[in-house]
Amino acid sequence: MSEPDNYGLRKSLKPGEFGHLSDLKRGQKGVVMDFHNDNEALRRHLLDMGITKGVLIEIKKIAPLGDPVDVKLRGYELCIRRADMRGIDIKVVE
Amino acid sequence: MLIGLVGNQNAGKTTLFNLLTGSNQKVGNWPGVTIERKEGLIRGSGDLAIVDTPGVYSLSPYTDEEKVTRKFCLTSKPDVIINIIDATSLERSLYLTTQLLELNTDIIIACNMSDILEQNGITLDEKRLQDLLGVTVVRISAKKGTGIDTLISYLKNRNYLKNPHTRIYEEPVQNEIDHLEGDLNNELEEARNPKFAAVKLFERDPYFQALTNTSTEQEIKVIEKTYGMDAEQIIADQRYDYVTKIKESCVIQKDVGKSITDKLDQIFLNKWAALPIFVVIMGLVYFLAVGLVGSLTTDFMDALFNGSQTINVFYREVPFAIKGLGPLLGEAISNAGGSEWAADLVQNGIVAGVGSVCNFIPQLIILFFCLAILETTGYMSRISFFLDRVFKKFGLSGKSLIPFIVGSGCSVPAIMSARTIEDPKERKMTIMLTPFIPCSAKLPIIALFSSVVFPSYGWIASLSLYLMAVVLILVNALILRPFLKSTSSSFISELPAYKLPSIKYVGRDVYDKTLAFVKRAGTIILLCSVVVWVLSRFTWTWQYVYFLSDSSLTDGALKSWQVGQSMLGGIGRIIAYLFIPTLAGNYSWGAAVSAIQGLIAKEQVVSSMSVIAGGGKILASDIFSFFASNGWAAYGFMVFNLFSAPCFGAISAMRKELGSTKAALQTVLFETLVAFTLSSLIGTLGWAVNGWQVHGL
Repeated sequence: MSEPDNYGLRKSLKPGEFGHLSDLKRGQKGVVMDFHNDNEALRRHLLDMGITKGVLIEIKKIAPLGDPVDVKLRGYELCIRRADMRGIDIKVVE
Repeated sequence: MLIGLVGNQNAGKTTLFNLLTGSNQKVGNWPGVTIERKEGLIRGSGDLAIVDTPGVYSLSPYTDEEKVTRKFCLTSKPDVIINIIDATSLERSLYLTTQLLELNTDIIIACNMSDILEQNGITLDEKRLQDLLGVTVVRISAKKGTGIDTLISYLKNRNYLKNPHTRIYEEPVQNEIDHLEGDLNNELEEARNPKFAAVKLFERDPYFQALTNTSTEQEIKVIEKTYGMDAEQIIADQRYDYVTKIKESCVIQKDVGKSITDKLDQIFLNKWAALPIFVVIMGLVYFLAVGLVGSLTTDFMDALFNGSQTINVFYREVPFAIKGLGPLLGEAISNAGGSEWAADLVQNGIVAGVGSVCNFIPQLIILFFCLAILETTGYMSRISFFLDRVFKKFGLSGKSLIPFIVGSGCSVPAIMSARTIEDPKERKMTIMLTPFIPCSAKLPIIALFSSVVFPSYGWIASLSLYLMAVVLILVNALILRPFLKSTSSSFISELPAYKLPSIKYVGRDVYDKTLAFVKRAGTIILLCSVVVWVLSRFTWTWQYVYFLSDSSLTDGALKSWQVGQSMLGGIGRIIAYLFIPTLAGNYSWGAAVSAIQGLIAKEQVVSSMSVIAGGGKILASDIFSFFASNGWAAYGFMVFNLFSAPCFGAISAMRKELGSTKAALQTVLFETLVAFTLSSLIGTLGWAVNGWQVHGL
């Protein structure tokens, strides 16, 4: 019922590799390749916030306890939970 | 003429609204300050009505307060919408604009935050923005008040550009949408905004399905296949494409390095420092309000109402001989030939009752001031950001923190601010648990008894109560969690840039809240004081109790015996049995009836005790002196009053926000049960320490 809290060791991704947004470390950037979320309303919400294919996302700040994460996209910053970041497939660019 | 004010959260709508109308609606630096539409008239005009709406990122609503905005845009037929956009995040702001431009309404764009563009390294060509969008763009700074006159003149002269209805989608998509628009069933109410409805139909929004008879499912599927995305994605994608192109041709962004906000966040959101900083800041708030200022002013304020020889300032006795308002009035009435009971009513009923609450005004001002600072600097959003992970584990959201902090001022706005939480379960739990936070009306109770528990370190006792409130919330969240339906929760928010608090708005906020408190003291507390006075001064046969005598008693004991013969004493003696464990073995009708009155308003607890004690220092009176010698009883009594059923105002706010009387009553019952159990446990511990002695029975 509740989210598993231990996300395990995050994969270390190099530029050009594919993964989930939740795998990125602070300062890394990725381009959104695909995007899915089981919750219809939440998916719509994230679309409205500008998470669409091809958009560049940078990990800006991580909450002191590791979750949620503050990401930068389209010139502004957005806070989302790791659980939702896992539904965002990215290609690392930096 | 009806004007709407629509924009993203924290874009400055309410600040602009206040400027345009000259009113004083509450503003803050966190997303979701405004939760209901507010109406006003533009200053200097007779017929320009303007409506402030809760912030939204799109016209697809996720929370109740966002639905208010969508409903306004779609059904209130505004003549023009002022779309306030945050110039520092142009793309996200203009995304909403593309939706507003599909409405059958003209739009004026108010480009806000222009005063901080430069420090963010942004150069914006608003002429070009106006040309590209085809709508009137006015550059304003709601904070500095620039550009407001231009905006008003556009509204008055109605010389703004008409809605251009630009076709922004790529050819196949746009064609399909045009096709859908042509086939709309125009008789229906929802067809008032045909372009918007057509896009919604394309996205398969069920709300609009009644508008069309033609099945376009086939065509939409073909388009989805060519783009490799579903319809919703296509629309969002192409809106953003359009917006990005506009941004790129009218904005020049220079790299200015790390912003002040980023630098401050390195400290406030530091992995190791964040939690200690939070604890220190919250501790400081309560130390200032309850400890420092309290020890400085409470005795002084009390002297003004009840008179004194010496007062206690910073735990030191200072000579301060003053007659006090109550004794002065009482004497004046006696001298004028008034009856004994009339003097008693004024001196020990009204002045003592209202005064006992007003004693705490200086402390409340400090508390309100600190809360306003937390709200306006942007720090509050950081707290909800970094505690989200903890709260999530308990079935709450990081956003629950905002109601909890606002709740230390007053539960009513706090319960309402829970509307910004998307997940219904998290929202419901937040509403149910918010009253556990000691609100400002409970401060008099805390301040009165804390000094008894830890003499000279009263603020530690009060801090412990706030910590206990947090623990209670978390434990009860765990208890409640299985009873509420769960959907997958989320946390989508923003960290607003840090701002220096505006003296004007902080002052306004403190003034409004203090005034509300004083008003309550002058109305409901005054009324209750009179009622309590009547009930505590007359027997069931309407005999004035101070005329009763019992020669076997000494002075102080006689007085408390006399009051005990009153109607209130009779009622209280029955309830008092329930409170024996809470009061560590003390049977006190006065404490029992006062606790019940907390339902009306929590300040009333102290006020009632003051009237029953007959004015003067409450804990020095014979009836309540047991508190002074028994810290357990004082602590148990505080715990009951702090965590039991909130006042009627908060109960009705809960009823409204939970949408059911039954749920509200269940919550109240649940809270009271928790408070009663916990206070009984604490009191019983003290009772055992004292060797199970029962006093007063």
